Amino acid sequence: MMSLLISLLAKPEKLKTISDASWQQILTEANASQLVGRLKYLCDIGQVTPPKYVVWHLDSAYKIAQKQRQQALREFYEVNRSLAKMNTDVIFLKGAAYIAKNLPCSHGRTFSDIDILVSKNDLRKIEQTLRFSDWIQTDIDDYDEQYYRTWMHEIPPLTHVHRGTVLDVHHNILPATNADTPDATEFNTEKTLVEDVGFVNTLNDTDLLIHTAVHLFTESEFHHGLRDISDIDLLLRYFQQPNIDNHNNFVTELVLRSKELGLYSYVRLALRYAHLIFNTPLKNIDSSALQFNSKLQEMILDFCFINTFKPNHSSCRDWKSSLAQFILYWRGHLLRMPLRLLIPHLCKKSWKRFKDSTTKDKTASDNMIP
Amino acid sequence: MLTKINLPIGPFSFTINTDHQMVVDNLGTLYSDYPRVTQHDFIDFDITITTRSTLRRYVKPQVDFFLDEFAPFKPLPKDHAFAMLEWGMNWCIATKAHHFLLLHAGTIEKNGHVIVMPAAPGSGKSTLTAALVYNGWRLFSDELALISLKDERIYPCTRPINLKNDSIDIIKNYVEQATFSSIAKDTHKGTVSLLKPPKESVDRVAESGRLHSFVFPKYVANSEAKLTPIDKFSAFQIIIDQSFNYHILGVEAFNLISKLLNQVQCYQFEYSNFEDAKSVFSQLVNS
Repeated sequence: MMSLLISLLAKPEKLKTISDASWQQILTEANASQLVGRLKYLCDIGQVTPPKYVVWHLDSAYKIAQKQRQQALREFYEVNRSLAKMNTDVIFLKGAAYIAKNLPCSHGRTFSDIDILVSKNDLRKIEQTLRFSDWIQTDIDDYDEQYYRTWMHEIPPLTHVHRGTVLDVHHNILPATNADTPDATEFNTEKTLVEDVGFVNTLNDTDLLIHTAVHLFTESEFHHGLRDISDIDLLLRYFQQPNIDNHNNFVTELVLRSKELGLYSYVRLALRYAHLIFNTPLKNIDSSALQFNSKLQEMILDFCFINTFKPNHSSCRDWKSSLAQFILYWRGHLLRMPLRLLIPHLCKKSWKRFKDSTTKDKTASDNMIP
Repeated sequence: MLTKINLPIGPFSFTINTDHQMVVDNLGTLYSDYPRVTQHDFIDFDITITTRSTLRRYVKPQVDFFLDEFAPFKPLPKDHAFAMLEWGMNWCIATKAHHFLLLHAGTIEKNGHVIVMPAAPGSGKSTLTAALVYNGWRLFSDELALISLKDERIYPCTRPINLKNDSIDIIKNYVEQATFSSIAKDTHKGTVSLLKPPKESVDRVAESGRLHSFVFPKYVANSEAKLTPIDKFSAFQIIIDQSFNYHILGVEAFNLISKLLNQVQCYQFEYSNFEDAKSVFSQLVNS
């Protein structure tokens, strides 16, 4: 079934012409996709005033995102200050980077943690220093701890004792087991001056988009897949605007740069599905650049991603979405690690889940409000 | 088969879908004075109370709460279904309605004067609210004060009153012809039952009011009713502690609370006897 929300994201001008009755469905889809805040942002820039009974829903979601934005600004300051003496670079990634660079997709967007990229050589010391600044490791068991340490490109998440913020410390952008893993030091960074905070390091525009693409297209579960591909759409539209950061030809730059890093296959997916789903304008790019070598592969991937990048709601799902998600689940896991590692890992995980389900009392309701 | 019941409650409209007869029956009893929304109206919160797994329909039966298709809570025993619905409805408002400053507070009105009573759980706020609203006061809410960030008025969200443990019998004895929901035993709050709100309060749910004062109530066994003015700084702290969304609203909430505290008085209130409480509250708004 066609999603109203997707048609609005593709063409925000349509917000001006939608009927009052459609808002119920739009809001349902946006809630299921964590895109209510983005909808509010699109209404604002399009100077659209939705009906009164919808406005407060949009405003509330936006306020939550604004609060998180404040929190991110605070963490730029705190994390930088904690690590200032170490003479090492801290690069903010993903949602935090969108905020630092004040990109359009950061407005109304919520996130669950702050991601940073640091040098692997300094990792031990950085962990230690962060611990002295009250960042403590989230409670995980020995198997998960060892799994993180051996195979992953990040350490187990840290939580701040007082502020509750979750910090994901990465030393690369992909797990060591992924065949395409580049050297993290090859990424180009830049400094952005953030008001009241000072300079914040992020990846530069092309590399930021490459990282976003790699991150999304190596996932195996897509709980907010539509939000993520919409991020890519907004980033592409923004960087292609005239007079933005001296990009005369952003898409060409992006393609060249991703080939240099050996990550073009992910960027091709990002360009292809942003374009197919949101009709993202892509200047000066040959349509063959978006095609795969194998027609069969193209058919399967199109089926999977187009049916997965949808609002996570039953009104937008059908048997195709379930099949697509099933295939992508295995694709993601196989990309992450070879079968000889994956099979034991998934067996171990299933066993643990089974064990937990039989031993833990599931009727506890500690997350209830009074 | 899911039964669908639409409920407009003050500034919000809910739809409850459920296949549990106990929930349908309780809604029928406790919400009988509410108008029904027509099909064409916008629904703010689409709630489903049902059982997720087939197994759990028969073995140690459980229920789940869904907002749209999202389940924010772990399942609860089937007997707690109606209590779970009421908690879930509070959760919907507390996590989404950020056009209001939301306080965990009993809220009542008389002659256009609204008294907001923020208090921690267990301080007797719901019990006091129940006693007063069946004795001349209008019920806004026993749990949630909605203070508009736009016009600074208090908006009613009149719903059944959540009573726990001993309070259930106390109110049964005090209020003649009180109607209660079925009783949920052994919840995380002990035994819970919900009291039907007075019809007049339900009929006037669209009428907002001006804040008259903040009263911080506390039940103290065998005490004499005592209303003590407290300073604005202490009041500010209690209000923040009892707010659901102060941390989200930030400056907006700070400014609103400051403004209100400059306009109204704040009191601590100790009581053990409803008759004393009644006269203290009447004097408060008449003076």
